[in-house]
Amino acid sequence: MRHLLSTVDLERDEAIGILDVAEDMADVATRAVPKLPTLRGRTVANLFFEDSTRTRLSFEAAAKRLSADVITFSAKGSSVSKGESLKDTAQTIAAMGVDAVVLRHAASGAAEVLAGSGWIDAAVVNAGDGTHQHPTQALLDAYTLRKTLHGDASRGRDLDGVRVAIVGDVLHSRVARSNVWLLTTLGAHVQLVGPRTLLPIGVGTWPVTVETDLDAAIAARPDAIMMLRVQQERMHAAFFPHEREYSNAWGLGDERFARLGADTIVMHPGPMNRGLEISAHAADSPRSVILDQVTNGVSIRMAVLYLVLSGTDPREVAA
Amino acid sequence: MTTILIRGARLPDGTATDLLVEGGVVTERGTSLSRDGATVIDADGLVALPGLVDLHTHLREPGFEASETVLTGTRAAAAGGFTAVHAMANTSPVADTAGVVEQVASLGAQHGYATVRPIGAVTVGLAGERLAEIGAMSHSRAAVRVFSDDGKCVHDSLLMRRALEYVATFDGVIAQHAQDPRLTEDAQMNEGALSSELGLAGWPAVAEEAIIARDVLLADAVGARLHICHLSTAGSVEVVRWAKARGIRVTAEVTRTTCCSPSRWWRTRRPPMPGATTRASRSTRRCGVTKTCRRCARRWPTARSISSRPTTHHIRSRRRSAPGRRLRSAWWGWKAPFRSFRPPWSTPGCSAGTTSRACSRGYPPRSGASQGTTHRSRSAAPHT
Repeated sequence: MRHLLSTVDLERDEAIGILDVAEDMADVATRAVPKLPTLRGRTVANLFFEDSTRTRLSFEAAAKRLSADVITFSAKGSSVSKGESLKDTAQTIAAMGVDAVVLRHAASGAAEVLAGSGWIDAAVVNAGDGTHQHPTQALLDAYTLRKTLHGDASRGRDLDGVRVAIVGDVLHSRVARSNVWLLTTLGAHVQLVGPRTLLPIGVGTWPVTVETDLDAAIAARPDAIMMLRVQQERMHAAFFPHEREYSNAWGLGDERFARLGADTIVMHPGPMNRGLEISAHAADSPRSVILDQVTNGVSIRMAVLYLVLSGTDPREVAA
Repeated sequence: MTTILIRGARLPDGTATDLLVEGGVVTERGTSLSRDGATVIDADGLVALPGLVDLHTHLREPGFEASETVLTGTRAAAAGGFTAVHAMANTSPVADTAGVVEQVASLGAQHGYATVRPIGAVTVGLAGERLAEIGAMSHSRAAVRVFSDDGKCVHDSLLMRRALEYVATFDGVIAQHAQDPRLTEDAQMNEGALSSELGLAGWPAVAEEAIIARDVLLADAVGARLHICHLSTAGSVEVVRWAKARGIRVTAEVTRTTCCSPSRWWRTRRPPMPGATTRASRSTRRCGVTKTCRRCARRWPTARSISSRPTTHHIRSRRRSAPGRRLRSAWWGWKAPFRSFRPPWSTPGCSAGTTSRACSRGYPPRSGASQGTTHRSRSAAPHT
């Protein structure tokens, strides 16, 4: 694998291969010394032009567990605030000798530009570009789903027939976009739920079903329900009248949570707005796998960094 | 008096003829003409047309001379057979005072390649807040007849109404850049399934169509003349056709880049990945230029002309380096507006078709008769 830019182009075998490598990486974490020498001497640069907690730390932890050297860059307090462009910043960091760049950027398509422009030779891993894609998040969600449903027997399995409801601000969500394509590729049925203002135009051409009523979606007893974060800046941009109304109609409150199927798992990519899209009770319940998602994120990112830096085809590793 | 003898030119009706031009006027046509002292031009294999008029160019002077100047723009125009160009007002300073439009017009006259007809701004500084010196520009030596905030939309309904009413007092035209600013905030490409998949902010067709619909109704209500700049959606064509059928005095132009580039650009710039092309072409484009152009060509007596919207390399490269905004760069470059075509037989002083150069002296007539011609040809057109 040269880069990881989007889940749209991942084939089923490739995706399963990545998940299987992540299983191996998860096993490493159970050892007395949870560290592999695989990427010793390689350098990974985390280029974060946008704020992030879990993704940045997760990539950092993943690279360190593989013994890679990590340099981390945040736009705040850097020359980006002096007007330096993506190209110049990336080339500057590449000139210091990096083997992989983990990029988060506010512009959709930034990772593809960096990978396809010839500005740098390093492998590019998309850690979120605008409202386009966040592939490692989708992979860790698929991993979490597979692990929860199949347990120790999950290696080599796909998500055939699994029904996932993704609820909330799909329009602005790169997490939702990544998950739609990856989960569908793996055989899952995805249902998008939210007000029409937060569902993208042309969503009818996506390989999903669309529902505007969360109660109807819950009544259909999905295997997993994924609540999306409602960003503060959307709350005052006429996508919905006010927070309380959104919470009443599309939030996973206690009452709705009680109506969920007993085996339905609750997911959230974080950071959560407790009391808005998800209640504290739902977030902290045993059916919530939100912290598992964070744990699995490290394994997935270890797998992705290993695959892009070794140039290995995930299909071969899995086979 | 300059005498030019053009030999063997082909007229638009297909016949070949010699043309004798004296003092800028075609005085004789026929075969085997001769005249002592005339400059003879062998036009074998060439077509004689009246000078073409471009209703929408950006000569960028004053303020952006690194992109284009009146000199370079009019030389390009003359090389392409255009004898008159209208220069848009979004210069720096903005062409919102008589002084600026007179300067632009006089620069054109000084260089002598093509007649430069400055377009005046509708509002001061293109800010959309209060009317510019429309009357002063109209009565200036530049005799401005067309007013436009091109690049920005006159989105305030009251201001648009007042502008239309005001220019109607001297039969001027408001050329509208139809783009609802709120519906296109941060927009990067045409709204549709593809924009949703790519996570790029969509530019909905209704942002253009709603403004055009409002403005044709305003033009009708106050009896003013309206022109729509770079129309780009099939729905806009429907609105304009409806307005014309009702006798509303509206004209429109179509450009190549505003309609079709983003999709094509994306297809070529997308990294080669399996299925990438299929996904791009899968997007249903409500406002494909092909459709719009074909409709225009079929329904309206319009002609295609080419004008440039020049920009500097610096601007282009800066825009490219901001990937999120990269699709917007497709807005810069070449465009080919449709505009009203003045047939040779209706051009004053060009009774039988003449060379571009000769005809330029006759254009534009003082009262802005080019739009008048548009109007006449419209009423003769089939509106089916």
